[in-house]
Amino acid sequence: MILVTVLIVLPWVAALWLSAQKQSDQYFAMSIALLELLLALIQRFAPGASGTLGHALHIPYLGSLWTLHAGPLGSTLALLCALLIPVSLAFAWRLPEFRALASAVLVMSGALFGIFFAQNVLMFYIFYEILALAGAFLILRSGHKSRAAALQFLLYTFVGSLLFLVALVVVYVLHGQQTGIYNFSILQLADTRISGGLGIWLFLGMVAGLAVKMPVFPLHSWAGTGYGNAAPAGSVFLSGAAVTAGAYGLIHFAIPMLPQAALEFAPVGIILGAIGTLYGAFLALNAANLRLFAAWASVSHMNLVALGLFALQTQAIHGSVFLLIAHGVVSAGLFGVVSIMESRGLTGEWSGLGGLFRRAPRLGAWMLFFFLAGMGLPGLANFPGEFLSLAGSFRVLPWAAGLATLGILAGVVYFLRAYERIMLGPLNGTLPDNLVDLRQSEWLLFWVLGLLTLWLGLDPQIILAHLGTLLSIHSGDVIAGVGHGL
Amino acid sequence: MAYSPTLLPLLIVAAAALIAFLADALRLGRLMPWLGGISSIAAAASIFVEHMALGADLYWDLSATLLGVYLSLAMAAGLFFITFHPLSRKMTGSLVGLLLTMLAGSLILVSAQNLLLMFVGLDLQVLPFFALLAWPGSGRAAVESAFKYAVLAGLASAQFAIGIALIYLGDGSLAVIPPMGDMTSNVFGLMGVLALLAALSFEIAAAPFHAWVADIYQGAPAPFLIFLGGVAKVAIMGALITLVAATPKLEIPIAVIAATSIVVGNVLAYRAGHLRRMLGYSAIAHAGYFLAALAVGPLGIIAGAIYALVYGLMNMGTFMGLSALPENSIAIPWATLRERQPVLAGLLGLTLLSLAGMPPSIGFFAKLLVIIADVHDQAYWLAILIALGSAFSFAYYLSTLWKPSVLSNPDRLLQRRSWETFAALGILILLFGWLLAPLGIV
Repeated sequence: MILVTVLIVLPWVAALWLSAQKQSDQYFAMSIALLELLLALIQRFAPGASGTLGHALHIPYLGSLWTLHAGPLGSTLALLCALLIPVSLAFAWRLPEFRALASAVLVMSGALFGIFFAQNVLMFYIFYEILALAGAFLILRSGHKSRAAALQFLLYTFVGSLLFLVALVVVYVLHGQQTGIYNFSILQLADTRISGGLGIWLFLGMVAGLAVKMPVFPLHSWAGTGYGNAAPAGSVFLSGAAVTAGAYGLIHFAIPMLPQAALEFAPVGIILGAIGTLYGAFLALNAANLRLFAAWASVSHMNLVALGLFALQTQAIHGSVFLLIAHGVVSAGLFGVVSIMESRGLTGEWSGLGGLFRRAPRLGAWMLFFFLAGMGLPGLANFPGEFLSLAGSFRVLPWAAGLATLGILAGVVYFLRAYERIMLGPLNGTLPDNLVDLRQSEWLLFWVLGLLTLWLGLDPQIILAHLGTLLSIHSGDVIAGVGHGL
Repeated sequence: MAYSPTLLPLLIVAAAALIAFLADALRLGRLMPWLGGISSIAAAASIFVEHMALGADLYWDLSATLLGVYLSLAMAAGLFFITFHPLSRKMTGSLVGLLLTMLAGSLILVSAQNLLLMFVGLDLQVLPFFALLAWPGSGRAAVESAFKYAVLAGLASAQFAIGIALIYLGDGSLAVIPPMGDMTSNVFGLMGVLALLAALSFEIAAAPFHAWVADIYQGAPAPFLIFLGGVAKVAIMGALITLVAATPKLEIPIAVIAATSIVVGNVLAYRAGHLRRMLGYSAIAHAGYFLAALAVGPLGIIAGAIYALVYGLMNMGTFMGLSALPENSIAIPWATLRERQPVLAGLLGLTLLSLAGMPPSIGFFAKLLVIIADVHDQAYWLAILIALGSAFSFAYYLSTLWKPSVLSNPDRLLQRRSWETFAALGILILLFGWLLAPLGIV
């Protein structure tokens, strides 16, 4: 209890301290980030050390608003999130807006830890809103500092999450009327009897709130403006860690609460995911600049995650959870490359790039590595996840899965084409003469991300073997019990 | 007349008001805010003690007690707060006297069970504002807004009187809960109740009776808006609660007014472009959320009472923060404010978020309760409307938070060390007020 509480509250205190300082303090932020990483590691690999998780802040009729529960899936995603804090801060190290970016990232990480360890759905919702607000702040205060982009992000996520809230309240009231127990704990709400017709509407409301964060196909358009306007170092965290909240909410809360509706929604969800994968790929193919390219590539992969989740099939869900984690690492690498290029004064517009490999071979090599990982080269992180989620959903809805496969194929095209435009070909005349290649520290950072990518790709069992237990008990039951049985 | 314990809080407040009016002549004006504050606290204590006592025409039931205690304490806090504001320098005694008269009217409004008494309360509460909004030293815009308020509030009072007359014509009784049947038992009664509803909706600025609100919020001096938003409106909401609890047939008209208010308020606030006008228009939306609670059954009454209380608290926070700014500022100069009054800036930011309904502030929990009440009564469309409205409201509340604005002359910002204490207390209440919930619901 104490360890997890510290994990959640410490980044908020640190963010408050940072925003009260006169100038930015990189070393303080980084040490908090590393401390968080250590705590998350302890929580993941020695869950006994944190003692039994408990509850506090009991409010009548709402349940305990601080009910902590450490499922293996939550702990693993928390570890991913804790890993991306120092990575994101390291990429932002020299930015003038470091202080605002670091406080936003710290607030977001505290909210994410809250999400991953919450057992009370209202508590989850509260953290989810804080996450959205901090995300909007990040977009507002870093990169292009675009108010319109922040507002768009905010409106998308808040409209979605308030619909989630209304659906949640309906389940809560129904449960209260059926049993007389008014409580927002997921353990209570998971056994509410809900009629089919109403259930579908409720599930749609919940999907609206959770899918908008991933972002799934019709709700994705904030991603282009959001990732395109935030500093790439912030997008590292936004696209790698923050999106996992939506997927986790689906696995841990929405599907267990409305299993029947989830099953009925499955074909629609698969189709949306498939369209999103393909559409994201096309958007990436036509992206106007490097930031947008990385953004749409991330959206395409997250739609594949959604496809696997909505298929409600054991293999597909395993694949998409794996892809969720792999995407976090690979996307951090992609946005990291963009961040390095922008720190060298390159705008990221295609017209200003070309032949960069001759000037910066180390950067070129790492960019190739992450592009290969992104297109799903076997042996690198994304491949097992993509393969499993497609293989699983092929057994549920073959033609839609086939459509998504086309999206993956298009991935090969857009990654290679982008690499050709940036690194190969004749040297672009507008490139500055004294372009610095990767510095020692940046090089080291890429090694960390690269080794992780390689490790996940070569030894996917490290996560897959635990997935039976990773999906926490009741979601596992739902998937095994009411799934398609394949 | 025999001594009635339910009258005690009113007697305390009225006596203090009389003393305060006299104090200017005796040159004791500077002491009066403190006397007024202490007597308000005493009134709160006596309401708390008399809790559930049934008097001749006053009844301190659960919601009336809750709101009565809140109103008295809010008045005390407001009085202590404006002591440090330059506007209270002139004729302090009369100022406090008027405010205490207003409090007496508010207390009558929330607890009255008789229509005539309610009318007396309404007028006692409205009349002081004619003078307060145009208080000496507050400029031409304030006089204009006071005049507008006087004309329109007079109209609303007249409508209230007509409503009472119609109800009396209908069943010959002035009690809110008559022994036989409800007030809407015949056509005159129904018309009368609708007239009362219209008059009270006007006072809380629910659409389509909202036209006055933005002008008043823009022109009136911020320190008095603390009382208009944080005390007067809450008392009217209390009267609405009494009225609705007595006449269940009002659900449909109230739901219609609520829905219109949410839509109209949010759209107007989004297009306002001026800080004070935005707050005025968003007050329409908040009136809508409050009425959305009243539109549904008994749980809605509880939700409505709590929403009224929370709304009052948020208004007090907002206008306490705005009191430090120059009156005509159209945006908040965050950089200067953060430098001069850091805690007050924090309070202002937090109340704006809380008004939007950001968890975990109490604004969120109040809205959650309203949504629960609506869903419980299967008014799903109202719940969805509240959700969409409050999601949309983030757009304009947050744009005041992050709109860059500079103050041409930083010295025009009022700087008071003692306000920081108020602000710190306000932050605690707004952020952790919901932790007190277990004490209230037993």
